[in-house]
Amino acid sequence: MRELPRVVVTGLGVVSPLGPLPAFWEDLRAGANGFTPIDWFDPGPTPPSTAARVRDWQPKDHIKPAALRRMDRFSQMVVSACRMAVADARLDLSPARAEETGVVVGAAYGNLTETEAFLRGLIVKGPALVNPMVFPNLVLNAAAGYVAIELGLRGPNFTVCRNETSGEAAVALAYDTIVCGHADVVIAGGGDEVSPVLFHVNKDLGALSPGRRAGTDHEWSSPFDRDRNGMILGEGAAMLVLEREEHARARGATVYAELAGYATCTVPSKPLLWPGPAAAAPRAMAAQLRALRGADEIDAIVSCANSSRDLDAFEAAHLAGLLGESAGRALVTSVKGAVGEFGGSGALGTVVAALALRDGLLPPLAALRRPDPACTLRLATDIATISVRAALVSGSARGGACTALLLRQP
Amino acid sequence: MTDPQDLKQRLKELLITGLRLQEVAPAGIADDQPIFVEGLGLDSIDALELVVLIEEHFGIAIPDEEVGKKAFASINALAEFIAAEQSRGA
Amino acid sequence: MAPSAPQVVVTGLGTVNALAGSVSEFVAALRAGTCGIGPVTVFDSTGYRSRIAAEVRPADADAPAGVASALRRRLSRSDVFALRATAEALADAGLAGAVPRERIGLAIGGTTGGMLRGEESLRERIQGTRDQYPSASVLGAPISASADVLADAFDLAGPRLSLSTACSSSANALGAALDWISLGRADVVVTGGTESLCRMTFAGFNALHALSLAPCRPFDRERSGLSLGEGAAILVVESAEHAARRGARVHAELLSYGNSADAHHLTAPHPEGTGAALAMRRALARAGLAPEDIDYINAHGTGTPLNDTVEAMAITAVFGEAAARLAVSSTKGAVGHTLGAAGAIEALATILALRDGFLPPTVNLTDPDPTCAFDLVPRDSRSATLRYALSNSYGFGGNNTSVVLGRA
Repeated sequence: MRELPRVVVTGLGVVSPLGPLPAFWEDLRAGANGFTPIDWFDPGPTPPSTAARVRDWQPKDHIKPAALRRMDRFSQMVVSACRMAVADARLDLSPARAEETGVVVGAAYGNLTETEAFLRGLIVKGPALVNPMVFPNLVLNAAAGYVAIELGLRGPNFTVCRNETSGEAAVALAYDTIVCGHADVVIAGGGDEVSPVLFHVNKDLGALSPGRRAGTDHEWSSPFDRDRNGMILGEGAAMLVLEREEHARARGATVYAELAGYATCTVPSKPLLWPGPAAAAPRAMAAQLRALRGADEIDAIVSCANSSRDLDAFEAAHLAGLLGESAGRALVTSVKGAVGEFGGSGALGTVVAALALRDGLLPPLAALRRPDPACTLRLATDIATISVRAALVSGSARGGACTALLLRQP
Repeated sequence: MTDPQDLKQRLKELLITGLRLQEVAPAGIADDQPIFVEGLGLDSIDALELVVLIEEHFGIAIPDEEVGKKAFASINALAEFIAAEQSRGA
Repeated sequence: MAPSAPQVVVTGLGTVNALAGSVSEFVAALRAGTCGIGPVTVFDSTGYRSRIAAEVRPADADAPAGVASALRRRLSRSDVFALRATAEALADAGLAGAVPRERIGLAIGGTTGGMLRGEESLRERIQGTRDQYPSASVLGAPISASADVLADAFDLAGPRLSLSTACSSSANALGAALDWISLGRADVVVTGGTESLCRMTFAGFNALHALSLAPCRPFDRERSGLSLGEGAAILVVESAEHAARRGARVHAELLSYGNSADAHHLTAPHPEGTGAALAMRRALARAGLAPEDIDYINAHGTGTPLNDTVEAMAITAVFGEAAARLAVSSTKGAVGHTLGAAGAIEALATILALRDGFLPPTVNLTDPDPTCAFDLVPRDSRSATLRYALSNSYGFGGNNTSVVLGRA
C-alpha cells in the first residue's frame, strides 16, 4: 500500500455530563461521575431512574440566538463542541479555508427527542397539524448541516450511524477522507442524547443497571467490575479537529497526537445483541492493528466497556486478543463509568486518548470495586501518571461492528 | 368575542413560543411591526409553521399564500383576520 | 486522487423499487418510460394533501425465501428491501466464496431505517393498546439496523458503515466504498442504500407543501413538488484487477465521487447552486475528466420548483457551452424520490444506461422548463452510446454528492 500522509489531532471540544474542557478532564481524572436522578422526564415508578445529563453548557455561549431558534438540542451540542474544537485548534476558517474544511458527525439516534414529539403530534393531532418547522431537524445529518452553516464549512460533509461505535466510525471516516486527499482538515466526532424512548426501551430490555446492588440504593456503572449489572445511559458531544500533518505544521498548530490509523471489522453477532467473547479479536483485525505505526507501543487503552455483562466480557477478550503479548503492558480505562453509554461516546473516548498522550495521565475506573477475574487486562484503578507512547480507543457495537483507533505521540 | 388587546397579547406569546423566538418578550413586538421582516430572521418554513399554529389554536384555516401574506403582515393584521374569521363563523 | 489508486468496477447489481423486483425488470421499465407513482397503501393517507407515492409492490416487499421466521418478524420494511437487493447483487457478482469474508465490506445509506414500524409501535403505546415499546422497533429503527441485518445474513466481516445524509446518503455510501478499496481496506464492497415509505417523511414533506398532488414532473414548467418513493439498490464493487483475476463480469466503472456542503440553509438549496457545482467539480477532478467528457447526467431532479431550477443553474455553471450537448434526465418521475436510497437507485439507473446504451427518460415531463436548457429526454427513452455519466444527489442539510460512472 502506498505511503499515506499522516494525520494529527489539533483541537478538542467537549459537551458532557462532566462539563466542557478543561473541567471534563479534571473531573474525570479525579474519579467523578455525571450521574443524576432523572427529573427531565418520567423514568417510571421503579428504578432504574438515573442517567448522565450534560451540564455546565449554555448553548448561547456558542451559538447566536437567531441560529439557536431552529436548532434542536442535539445539534446545539454538536455545534458547540465544534466551535470549542475550532477555537482550541486556532483554526483559520476564512472562506477560502472553510470551503475545503470537512465535517463528519457520528450518532446512533441523534435528535430522537424531536422525532418522537413530531410523531406524537402526527398521531394525536393528524397530518394537517404537524409542525413543519421541526421536520428538517429530524434527519440524522441535521447537526452536520448546522455545523456547516454556522462555521461556513463547504468541504466533505458526512454523518454516520453505527450504534455504540458511531463516534469511532466518524473519526475513522474523517481519517480516510484526509488520507485519500479529499480534505486537509476535517472536524470529526459525535454524540447522542438521553431520550425518554431510548431510556424506557433499554429499561424494559433489562440492559440498564437496576439499582438493586447490595449496599447501594442507586444504579451503578462500573466497567469490568465482577459485579457489574448493566449500563447507565448518558449523553454528550465531542468533536476533534483532524488535520493532515504537513498542513498543521505549516500553520504552527499545537498537536495533541498523531492519529496513526485504525483497524476495523465485523464480528459475528446477532443484530441488537453484543457479540460474545468467542467472536473477539479476529485475526484480520489484529493484523490490521499490527500494521499501524505505534501498535507495539500501546501503553493506554480507552475501552468502550460500559458495565454490561456481555459487552465488558467481549471487550476483555477482544483487547487481550488484539494486543497479544503486549496486552499485559497497557493500562485500560473507560469513560462509561463516568458519563454513561451513548452512541457517539467513542468520540469522547478519543478525546481522552488524545489528552492521555498529551499529559501522560490516564483517568481511573473510579467505580471499580472488584475486577472481573475473567478479565486479564491491567485495569486503571487509580489516577496513573504513565509514559504513554501510544493509546488505543476500542469501540464495539451491538450487531458486531468493531473499530480500534490508534493514537500516538506526535 | 375576544378582547382585541388580549388577542394581540396571545398572538405575540404564540409567535414567541411557537416559533421559538429567542430573547424577545411580547412587549418587544410592536402591534404594527411587520412579522416577516429581516430582524426576526423568519423564513418560509416559519410561515408554514405559523399557519399550523393558527389552525391549532384558533381553529382557523389559512387557505392560500395570498391570504397568508395579508394576514401575517403584522400583529394588527393577524388579529383583524382572526377576529373577522371568528365573527363569520359565529 | 492519488495516482496509484486502483480503478474500481461494478460487478454485481440488485434492486427492488416501485417498478421492479429485479434489475432486468428495472431496465425494461426504464426503457418503457413507466411511471411507478400511485396511491399510497402502506399506511392510511387520509388527511394528507397528497396521497400518492411510488411504492414497492407487495410481492417484492416480502422477505426473501430462506429467511427464518423468527428473524422475519423482526425485520423492518427497509431491512427487507436491502436483503432482497443484496441477495440479487451477490448472486450476480458470483463471488461464490472466493473472497475471504473479512475482505468484504459493507457501506449502506438510508435515512429512516425502521421508522415505519417504530411509528406503529408508538401509536400503540399512545393509544394504550401496548405497555412497552417492542425493543426491536426502537433499537431496530436507526439506519445502522439494515447493515446489521445484512452483515449477519450474508456473513460480511469486513469494514461496515451506514451513512445518513438525507437524500445523498447512498451516493456517499458509494464514495466510502470507493475510498475503502483505494486504501486496501476491503477487496470487495457491498454498497448502496435502502429506504421505506413512512408516515414521518410523508407528513413532513406534506407539511412543507413539498409534495406534488399529481405524480411529480421534474424539469417541467408546471412542476409543483416531489413524489416520495421507496426501495433499495445494491452494487458490488471491487478493483478492476481483482475482478479480472476472478473472471468477474463488469457492468460499469465507478470512477469517483465528490461531496460538498452548501453551508446555507437546512432545506433550501443555495440559490446559485454553488454547493452542487462544487460537488460536480470535485467529482470530475478526481475522475480526471473534463466537463466535455460527460455524456449524461442523472439529475437529482425532484420536481420541486426550487431544486430543478438551482440544479440546472449549477449544471450550466460547471458545463458552460458543453451543457447544450448534455442529456440530463431525472428518474424520479419513474421511481419517485427514494430519499436515502436515491443515490444508489439512480446510480444503478445510470449504470444500466451506460451498459445497455440508452437514455432513461424524464417520465411525466410534457412541457420542459425553458430555463433548463439541456436535452431533458422527455417521456421516451432513446438509444445512445454513452462513455461517462454523472449522478447527482442533494439532501437536507445542504449535502451535495455527485458520482462519476463510466462504461466498462
